Amino acid sequence: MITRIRRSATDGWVNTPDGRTHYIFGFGDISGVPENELVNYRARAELMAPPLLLKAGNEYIVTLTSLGTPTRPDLDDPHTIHYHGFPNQIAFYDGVPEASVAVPVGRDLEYYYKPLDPGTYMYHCHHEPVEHIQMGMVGPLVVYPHDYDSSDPAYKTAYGYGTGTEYHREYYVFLNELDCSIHNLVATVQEPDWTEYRPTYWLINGRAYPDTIDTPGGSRLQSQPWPALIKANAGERVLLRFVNLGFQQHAMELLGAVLKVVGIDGMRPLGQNGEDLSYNKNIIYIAPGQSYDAIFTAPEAPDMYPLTLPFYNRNLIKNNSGGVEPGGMVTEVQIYAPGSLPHQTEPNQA
Amino acid sequence: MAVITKDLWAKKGIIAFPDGVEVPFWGFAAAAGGNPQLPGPVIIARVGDVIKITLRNELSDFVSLIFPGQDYIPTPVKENGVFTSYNTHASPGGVVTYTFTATRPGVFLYESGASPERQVPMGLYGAMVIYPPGVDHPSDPDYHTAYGNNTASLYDVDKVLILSEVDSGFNLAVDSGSSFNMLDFEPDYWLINGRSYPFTVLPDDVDILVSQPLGSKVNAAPGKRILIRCLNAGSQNHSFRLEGITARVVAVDSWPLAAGTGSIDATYLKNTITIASGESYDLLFISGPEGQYYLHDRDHHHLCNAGQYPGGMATRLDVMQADPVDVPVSPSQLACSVICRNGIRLNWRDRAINEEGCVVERKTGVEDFEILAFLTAPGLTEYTDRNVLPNTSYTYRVRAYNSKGFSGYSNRCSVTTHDLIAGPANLACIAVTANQIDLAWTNNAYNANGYIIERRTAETERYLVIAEVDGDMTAYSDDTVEANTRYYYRVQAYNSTESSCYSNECGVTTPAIPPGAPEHLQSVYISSDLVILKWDFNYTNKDEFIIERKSGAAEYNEIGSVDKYNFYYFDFQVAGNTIYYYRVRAYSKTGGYSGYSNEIMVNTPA
Amino acid sequence: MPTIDLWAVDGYISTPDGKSIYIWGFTDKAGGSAQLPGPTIIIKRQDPPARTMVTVNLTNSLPEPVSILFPGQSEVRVNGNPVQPQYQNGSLISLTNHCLPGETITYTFYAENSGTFLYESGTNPHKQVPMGLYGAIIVRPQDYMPDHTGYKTAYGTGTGTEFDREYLLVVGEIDPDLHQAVELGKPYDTRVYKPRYWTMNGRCANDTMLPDNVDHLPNQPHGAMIMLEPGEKVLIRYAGAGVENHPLHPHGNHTRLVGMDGRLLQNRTLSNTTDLSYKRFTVLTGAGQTYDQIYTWTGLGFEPVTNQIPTVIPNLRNMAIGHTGMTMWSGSPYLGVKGELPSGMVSYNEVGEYHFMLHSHAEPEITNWGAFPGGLMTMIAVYPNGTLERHHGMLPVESHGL
Repeated sequence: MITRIRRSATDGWVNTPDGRTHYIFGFGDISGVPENELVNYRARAELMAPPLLLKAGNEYIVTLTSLGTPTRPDLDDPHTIHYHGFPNQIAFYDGVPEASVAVPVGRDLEYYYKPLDPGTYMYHCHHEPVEHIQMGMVGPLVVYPHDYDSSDPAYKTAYGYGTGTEYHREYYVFLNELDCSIHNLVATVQEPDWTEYRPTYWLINGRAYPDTIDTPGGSRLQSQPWPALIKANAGERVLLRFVNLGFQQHAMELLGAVLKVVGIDGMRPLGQNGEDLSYNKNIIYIAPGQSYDAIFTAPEAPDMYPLTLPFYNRNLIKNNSGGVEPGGMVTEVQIYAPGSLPHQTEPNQA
Repeated sequence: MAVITKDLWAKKGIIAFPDGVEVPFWGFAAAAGGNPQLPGPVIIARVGDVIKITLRNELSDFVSLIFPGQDYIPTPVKENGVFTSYNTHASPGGVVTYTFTATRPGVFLYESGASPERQVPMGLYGAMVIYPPGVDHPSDPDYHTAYGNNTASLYDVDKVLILSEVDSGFNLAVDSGSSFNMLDFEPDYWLINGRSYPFTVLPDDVDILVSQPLGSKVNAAPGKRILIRCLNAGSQNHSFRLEGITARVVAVDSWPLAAGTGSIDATYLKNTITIASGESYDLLFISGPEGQYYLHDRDHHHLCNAGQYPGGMATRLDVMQADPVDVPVSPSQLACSVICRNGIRLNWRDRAINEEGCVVERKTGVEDFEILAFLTAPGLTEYTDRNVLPNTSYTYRVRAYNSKGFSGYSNRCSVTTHDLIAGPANLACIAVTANQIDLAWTNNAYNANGYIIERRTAETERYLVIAEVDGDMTAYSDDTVEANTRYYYRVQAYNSTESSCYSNECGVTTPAIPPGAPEHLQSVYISSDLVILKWDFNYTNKDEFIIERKSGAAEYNEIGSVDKYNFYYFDFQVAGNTIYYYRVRAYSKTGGYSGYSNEIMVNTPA
Repeated sequence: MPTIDLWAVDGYISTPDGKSIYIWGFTDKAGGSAQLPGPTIIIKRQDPPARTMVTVNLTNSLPEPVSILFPGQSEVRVNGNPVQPQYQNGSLISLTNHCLPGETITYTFYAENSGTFLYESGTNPHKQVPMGLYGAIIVRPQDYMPDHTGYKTAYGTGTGTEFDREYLLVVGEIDPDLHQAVELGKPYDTRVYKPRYWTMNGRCANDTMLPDNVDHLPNQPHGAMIMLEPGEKVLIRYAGAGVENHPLHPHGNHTRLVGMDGRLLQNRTLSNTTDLSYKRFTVLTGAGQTYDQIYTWTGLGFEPVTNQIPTVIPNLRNMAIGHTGMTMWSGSPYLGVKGELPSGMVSYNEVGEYHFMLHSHAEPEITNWGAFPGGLMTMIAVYPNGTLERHHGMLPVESHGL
């Protein structure tokens, strides 16, 4: 059986904590939407893009439909989906317009995936990638192990039964930056000079602090449905799926807990003879186009619950929003007494 | 197990850079009334010790401490739901005490958690070194290891190198309470243990760096196991190179890569590591033959102080058979003489056999001594001061240094710059046009055969001779200058036997001029959908060319621009069978728009 | 013992957007122009206990002192003495012994380790290295035998580093204002450094995809196109010669990182081998560092008769192909098949090969002065079995003879 998923490519607007709005290109989830209702999904791009959640061994067809960019009706840029890191991809499904096919406005293309290995990946548009990535066509892609079972603690894992990657809760730590002057130039039909790229906002899951800890639902953040608030009960194992689709390197630091790196770029770090090279870290130093899976155990501290652990970019000078601190890639981990929070049923559920 | 008690005073101070710049900073002092330090005082403990730090806040902002990497739960402070501090803070004038147990060995930062975006770059950070419990006991398997037995971390010499950056403009603004937009943060100094090269190779606790007590030079005999412990307290990543050395990475973020019996040995060899903000790397190697080895940022632009090489994030390993046991013997027999073509030459006797370099200090008239030059090579016995004024009295003294500290000073020598041939004075310069500067001076000599006129374009450049004029002249016009440029001049008289001292220096900036107009605009290709234009341009001061077009009776419109390297424009937006008129002008950021080129008419074919 | 004569000279390089940029660089040809990067030095180690001494004679034709650092090599000496930093009037000028204008000095070192290394100027490095005074050294293991299975390796037989083809990618940055200032003899303040071009083997995309030794790029002789057949092991050697870090991402598959800075990622004892290599899809190529990786591509078994792709190929006239007027695509989803592209479309596809991009994911670096495409980008071309000529990806055993 093949699972069908559908993504729109369109434009939209996102909001930063200083009250400014920024024009974006992006993806939306239009799975199951009838053809005659697609028009309602124009200009509803989301940042970060709706996660693609796949399971190893299963088959998927992801249809990309370009709905056009109502704010830029002059723009005839096509779009693609590049499944970043897919092992042994064929060029046709790789989403590189110079080496395959791209999707113009009003058209569809089907991408077939049968992921064989679990891990944290990412997807983005690869047409004029410097522009379309910065404009917001970026999202996480997670491949769950074939034996994944969220109801069985031994099988709720990042990399499969017996790989030491069991977890209770999982969260996205999806990083990118936004240069508001470039977004403004694109909105007003002007050409940016990309060598002058100078971000003004640093985002986790599409939001800058303190929007990162806001719960979903507010109309101001309707295009940014993914908070970065991390919650756990003391003693639980929390999987953080780090992805960087910005253009800068970042160094994420969590106070009060140790991060164990169990996945790098969607693979367990294993030597040629199966050596387990997973390691502990205080800082996740992540470059553009990389992913890390790290698990921490929520610390126990009776009499102190709920705990609040700051989680932020150690490139401290970037922790602002348009020059106003605190902002940027800052969020928090809240830890409750054992048994306080119910079972997590969806990724990133806080 | 011990209780390590440390009191830290958060307060304001001044840090100094080798180019003479001094900048305010915020740091931690180790004693009441003491100078704050950059980085903060090193806290040393053993695993199992209880660390008790009392922070006394003498700043006018909230300050707190956080302890990344420690087994420690912070208690953040919020206001309106937003972090104001990542841990309990001390109010201005207030006190807060933090207590925790050191549970694992390694090198760690402690740093401010209150407005850390500003307070950490301002200097509120320091290092904590936690050793395994048996590190001091020769019979203990942990003896002289960073991470304990079987962790491949046995060392003879260990050195913590704390990397960071300073944006001097940021420090000035924050210290004075002025606004500073963090988007404009651009470091201009790079530091190891709070100092920029060559201050980094000075010993600890030198009198000229009261708030930067930590040197970073490493001394070792050949064949020793050297453990370099790099800790990045800055906000940039750095690619730290051990020049001429390949080291074994034994721990990252203080997690040993060979974690003891039964675990795999994941240590690996590197000559350069890229270390991110907040990360630490422990690098172990065996010292090679005698000599100097630079440890430095491989991003060579960080080897500068305010843009000038050498400087910045560099220090040194000196491999020598015997570490000096005492400070050098002071230099003696310092003598100075005026050599006016070149300044004042100093000679001294180097009586030391163990010095690493020396510092030349100068005082002008009755002012205080200032550092004139920082010489980083041993065995020097002379120095030429090329930055002297005429008719001025200078006094010099020299002292040597090594890792144990400074020698005493040499004798002083004094000299006054005047000579048989009196130097010109009252040099004045005025930019009469964008391409001409007029100079005038007073002739003090009755016996000058002529004058040498020298010029430079930046205070950091060497002077170059641009002209010689007769001895009865007291003026000169320099017509070899460019627009919108600052020039400095000095003049020297000479006769058949000698040269005078230099005149005073004068500086002037030429005005900007608009660029000249492009010429010979022509169409080199015409088709129904493309017109290619070409023009000539014989001036240098332009940034781009602006192309304008009209058709019929319409006004000219700007249709495009090309940057300064191009003399062609491709107009794809043309229709067939149409008459177009084109003209081009240049634009420069400093001079504005030029006049227009000639106008041409193009008739595209159908 | 290998001896290499290098001259430090100036010259010009070209960028795809039509600029000519003044550089300083190395050449191994007397009277030659600076080349970017400097000539690749390839050395094969001697059988122990013989040691492999390499001699580099540097002649300086530039107006200021120039030196060469050999990071990762053993016992670097100049005129027989260990190299030492150099000072002028008490101030550091060179991190190693330098050569004055018009003079020649001789460096020697022992190549004790296999792998990929840089060589680069240690004099005024804030200026001279960005100007182009850098190159790469490849040291081959003593048992390297390109025609013997199991002995064509990066680090020696039994190290798991066998390869079929190999490609070297030396990456750097260019700030044209620095180059212009040096050309005109004007001062330059490193605080204003701002790269506008990024180079892979001295070239900016799309020139990276041109073959070696094309006529119009005389001082940039090396292409950066990676070509392989399915299942072949390709050794890709990244060398970061610039001052910034570049996240290089190959499409098509992960790479296995087997060595860094010319050291195998493996710890060996008499009884035990611990392999520390691991897979990545983006390797951050750090300033002054090297990364050796093995890349393979086997595909997923799609072919046009018995295992067709499970999606419908749309009418290509309705799709966007070759937005810039050309495409590398064959017109077919199948390896080795050439489909029908819309008329008027120019395809550079030869035999139905697949093209996978390899590029910096710091995407402003895949522009030439801000215009995409450009910079740190090339293609990995997977050719159908039996169609890729043998000479692609075949670097010599040694570059400069005995």
